[in-house]
Formats: sequence, C-alpha cells, structure tokens
Amino acid sequence: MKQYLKTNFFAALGIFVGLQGATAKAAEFSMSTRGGKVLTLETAADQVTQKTTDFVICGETVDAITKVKLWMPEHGHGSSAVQLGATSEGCRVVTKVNFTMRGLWEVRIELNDGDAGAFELDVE
Amino acid sequence: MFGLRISVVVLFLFGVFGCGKNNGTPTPRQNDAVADGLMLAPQDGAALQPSDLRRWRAEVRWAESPRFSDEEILPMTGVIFIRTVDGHVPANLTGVELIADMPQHGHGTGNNLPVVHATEGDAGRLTFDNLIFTMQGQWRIRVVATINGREDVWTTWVDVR
Repeated sequence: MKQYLKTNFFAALGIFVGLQGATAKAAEFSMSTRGGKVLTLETAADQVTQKTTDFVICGETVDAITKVKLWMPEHGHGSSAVQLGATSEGCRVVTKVNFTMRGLWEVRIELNDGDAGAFELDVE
Repeated sequence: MFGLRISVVVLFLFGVFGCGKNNGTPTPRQNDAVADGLMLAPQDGAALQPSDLRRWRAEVRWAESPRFSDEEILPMTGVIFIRTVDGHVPANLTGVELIADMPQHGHGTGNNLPVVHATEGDAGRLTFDNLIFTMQGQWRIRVVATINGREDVWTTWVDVR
C-alpha cells in the first residue's frame, strides 16, 4: 500500500511539473485600451521572436476588434498585414504575423467603437 | 405603317451590328497583355543587365507594380529570366533564389520568403510568388543563381508604393 501511494505521488508530481512546464512555455502580455478594456495576447513559445507567425488575443471585447497592426515605433514602420481570425471562446487567432526585425514592436488594436490600444512586445 | 416597318428593321440591324467597332470581336484584356509580356522570353538575351560579377545576365518582370498595403496581404508575383553572358538559355542553372530587403532599414521580408519555381520549356525562365513587401520605399531585389558551378548575384532596386 505504502509503495502504491509512493508511486502515485511521484506520478502526480511528474504530471504537475509537466503541466507547469507546458504552461510556462507561453508568453502572455496584457494591456488596457484607452477606454479601459483589458485584452491579453499570448504566444505559443516563451519568447516572441522573428519566427513568431501567430498569436492569440483574448478578452471580453475581443469580438469588437476591427484591426490588428504591427508597428515598430522606433523605426516608424510597420509590417505586412496580419490575418484576424473569428472569435472562439473569447479569443481570436492572429496569423500571418511577420516581425521583420528584432526590437520593440507594438501590436496596435482598433475596436469598432473607436477605442484603441497597443501591446508592447520585445521581439528577439 | 411603312415608317413603323422601317423603324423595326433599323432597330434589328442596330441590335445585330451594334454601334461599336469591336462588337463580337474579342479584344485582349490588359491583364492578358501583361501576362503575355511576362512570359515572352527576351528577344536579345545579351541585352539583359549583367550580374554583379558579370557571370550571367538577368531580368525580373513583375505581374503588377510592386506595392505594399497594411490593410491586406499582397503577395507579388513575376518572372525571372536568366541568360548566359552571351545571351543564351543557361544549360546548367541551379540554386536560384530571390531575396528582397531594405538595407537602409536593416530588414528583409521577415518570415515571408518569396518562392521561385522552374518552368517548362526554358531553363532560364522562372516564376516567383509570395513576395510580400512589409513597407513602402526603396527595396533591393537580388537574384542569386549558379551557372556551371559559379554563383553570382544580380541586383536591382524597386520603388514600392
């Protein structure tokens, strides 16, 4: 019995550590729009890099997003257009993401009521 | 009554022949002309611009003027012609790449890379697609290719609007 409990304990610990590792892999960013709406941005990997091609934006008002634009404020330029997916469970997938160089990028969000905001990402 | 008959005949003839010179005759659309021009091999291959080390010659033709939009994804397409120095179709052409970048800004097209495809009938005629510019301005376009084991780069510049 003791051996059985011990085995189960370590198995559960292993699963817990594994899950922690899996959840720790994602990078998550949060921001408030000018109007105070909170949105989060999540990527699959723990860092945003030039290889990042998609991310997920979530929040109560995610359905109101009309435009997502990548912008590099220090350089005064953006990138090619991204593709904004449909809303599913309070989140929208953004694909065709193309950070053309390393540095500080903004992911600018526009909402259908004129509100707007930006995530700030340090792209590696 | 006679006047009515005349009117009917006139209307009938007008309907059949119409008022335009080309009615019923297919006229080439502009796109067809562009496509034809794209695919036609250069008449004088020796007149193409030489590569940087003058090992071969090349030309890039665009299906439409290179442009950028941050509202929609615009993959540019076109044709690359490569000829030997004396203007012939290269017999031993390998490793053709198309690279677009902005040296003054220190970036290229990022994770969207143009794709080059061989075409049948002319070893020195290749098509490219998925060239997506990420901003307006002066872009450097380079064709990297190897003929008979000798690599060289051909460079041109385009003003992306």
